[in-house]
Amino acid sequence: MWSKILLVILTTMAVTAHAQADKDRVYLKNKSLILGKLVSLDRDSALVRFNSGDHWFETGDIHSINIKGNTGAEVDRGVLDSLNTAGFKKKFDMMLQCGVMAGGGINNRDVYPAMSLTLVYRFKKLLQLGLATGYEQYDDYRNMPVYLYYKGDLFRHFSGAYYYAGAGYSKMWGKPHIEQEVDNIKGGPVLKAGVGFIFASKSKVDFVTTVGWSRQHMEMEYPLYHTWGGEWKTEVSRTMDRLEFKIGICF
Amino acid sequence: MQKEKTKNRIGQTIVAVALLLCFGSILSGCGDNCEVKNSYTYYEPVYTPLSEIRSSVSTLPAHDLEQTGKIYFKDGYLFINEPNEGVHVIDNHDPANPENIAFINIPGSFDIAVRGNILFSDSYIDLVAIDISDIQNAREVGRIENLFPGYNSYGFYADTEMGIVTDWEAVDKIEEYESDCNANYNWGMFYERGIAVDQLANFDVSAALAPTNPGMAGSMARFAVVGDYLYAVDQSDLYPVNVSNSSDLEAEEKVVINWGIETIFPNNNHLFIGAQNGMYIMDISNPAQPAWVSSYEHVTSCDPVVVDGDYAYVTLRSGTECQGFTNQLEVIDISNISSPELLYTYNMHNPHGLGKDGDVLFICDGDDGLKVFDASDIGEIGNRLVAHYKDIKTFDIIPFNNIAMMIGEDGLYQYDYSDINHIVFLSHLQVSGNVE
Repeated sequence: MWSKILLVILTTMAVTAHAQADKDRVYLKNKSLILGKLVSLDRDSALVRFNSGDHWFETGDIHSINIKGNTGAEVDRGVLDSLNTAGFKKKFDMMLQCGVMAGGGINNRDVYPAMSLTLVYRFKKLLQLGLATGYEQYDDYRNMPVYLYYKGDLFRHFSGAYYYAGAGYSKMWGKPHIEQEVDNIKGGPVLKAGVGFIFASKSKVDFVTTVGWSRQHMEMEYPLYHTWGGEWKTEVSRTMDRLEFKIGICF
Repeated sequence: MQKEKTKNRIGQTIVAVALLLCFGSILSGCGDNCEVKNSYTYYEPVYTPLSEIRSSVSTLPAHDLEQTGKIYFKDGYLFINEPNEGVHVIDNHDPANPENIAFINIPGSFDIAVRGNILFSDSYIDLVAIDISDIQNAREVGRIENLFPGYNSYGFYADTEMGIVTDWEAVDKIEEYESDCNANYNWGMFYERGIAVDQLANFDVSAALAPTNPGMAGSMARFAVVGDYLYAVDQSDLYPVNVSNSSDLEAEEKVVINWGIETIFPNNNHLFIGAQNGMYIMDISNPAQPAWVSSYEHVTSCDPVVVDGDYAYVTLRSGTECQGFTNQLEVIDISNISSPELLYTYNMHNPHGLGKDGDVLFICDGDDGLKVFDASDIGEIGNRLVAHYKDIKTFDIIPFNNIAMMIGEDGLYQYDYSDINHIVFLSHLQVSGNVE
């Protein structure tokens, strides 16, 4: 109950905080962010007005500009569009993350480690494709998933949010105590989806955090079980839903 | 400008935290779901009504022997029990050319005995008297119902309404259900009726019927006829039955002996009852009320016995149903019937039934074949093997009037032993599917 109330409060604050950002955003190549009103822009320079006064920037130091509202007559649209287009660079991104997978067990409160390595190519802002792999643990099992990875940027220039989805297959094996109980463990399809946030730094390595949902399917065969009347064979198909919380680096 | 950057960082951080908490709030829904599938073959009992069983005794044309049990010889005829089915009648007046002449259909027949013109057989839980004066038209003349209440087929006793389990129907069963994955899949499987076996198991229906009845020949008898009485034994009890009037059989009070009863052999007003843990000697001076005289115990083993004069000859063999691991012949002095005493022990391979005629001792030594010994000196039996017929898996034997009739894995063998040093093979009656 209290967690839900807290959730509502924080969500409201987040929306409010974001709503206050009605200023133009000037992203510099040194990964700084300038919030102000763009007064003029040409090939050489840009003038940004703050509450405290005006400030000139060299156009060559600007990465991209996000305009809120209408542009003034002194803003060269051609230069503006050119900056924003060039601001998105097509390149490979690699992310290495560690964290936990939560869920399962009694009251779905089990927590086990997880890590992932992702390589994506940024075709467009909303189309970034790649491959991911990793290592994950469950209560009785371990697995190595390999999956296609899709990513799209939300409100992002250097820092910002993104969403992701993945689909693939996991190779699974049992932990030592379960290997004695189960005859055969087979992996299965894995699905992932979630959101993340990249915190841009001045260096080439940014910090990333993600939270998402993971579904892993697997199958097991138990040994023939003997009873007074005979034997029977048990096969189990298991679906495991988890929440993933990870932090890591992006470079 | 710095303040604006700071505000934006704070905003971004709040958004990130809010998303984290949002996902965290739905953590309680993240769990496991299992779909469990249990596969097994389930054998359901098939019942035949008692009324149908009790009206089934009839004489049919002869047909091939598929499996043999008890054999009984009388007046030139061999009566060979086919377990659970009935009795084959073999005209053995010429042992070199035995002729299969008729089949008496007796459902649930595992043991037989003959007195005069009456053949006695069990029929599941009943004792049946059959007039065989006209061998081609044998007919039922008497019956005691429910004499053997202990008869069961894998735990299913006779049911007065449904009848007797006479067959099993295999049903492939699959149980599927969902669970929260915390279930213990090693829970026992519960089912109301029938037997679940592994899908790959070869379930022998014939073995599932009255599996406790060995029904094998001569010395491995479970019926014995003495005078006007028939004595039958099951796993633990002795049933005296007055058979002086075959159409009006009278069951006397049963006598509780012990567990693991297997064989019965009458001699000189006594019954020698072989059990897995020894031999029990009953006095039948009062034939309606057998009285315990003495017992001789040995290690747990299957235990056919024959008696000749002052000595009892007992074979002990290992095997799963016998629970023992001893294979030997024992010679027991019963001159003092109240205190039998072991005299000699001779190692054997896996001895089953045995027979004795005069000084000739026949031992059916399992898959080591038939062994014939000169038993004139009971202390030298082991050193006086006079004949050894290998390559036959032998079960039981009746030596009578110089003709030895032996049941083996693949049929009935007959030998002329009139010259003990020159035993002559006479005939072989093929049986297709004998089991031990």
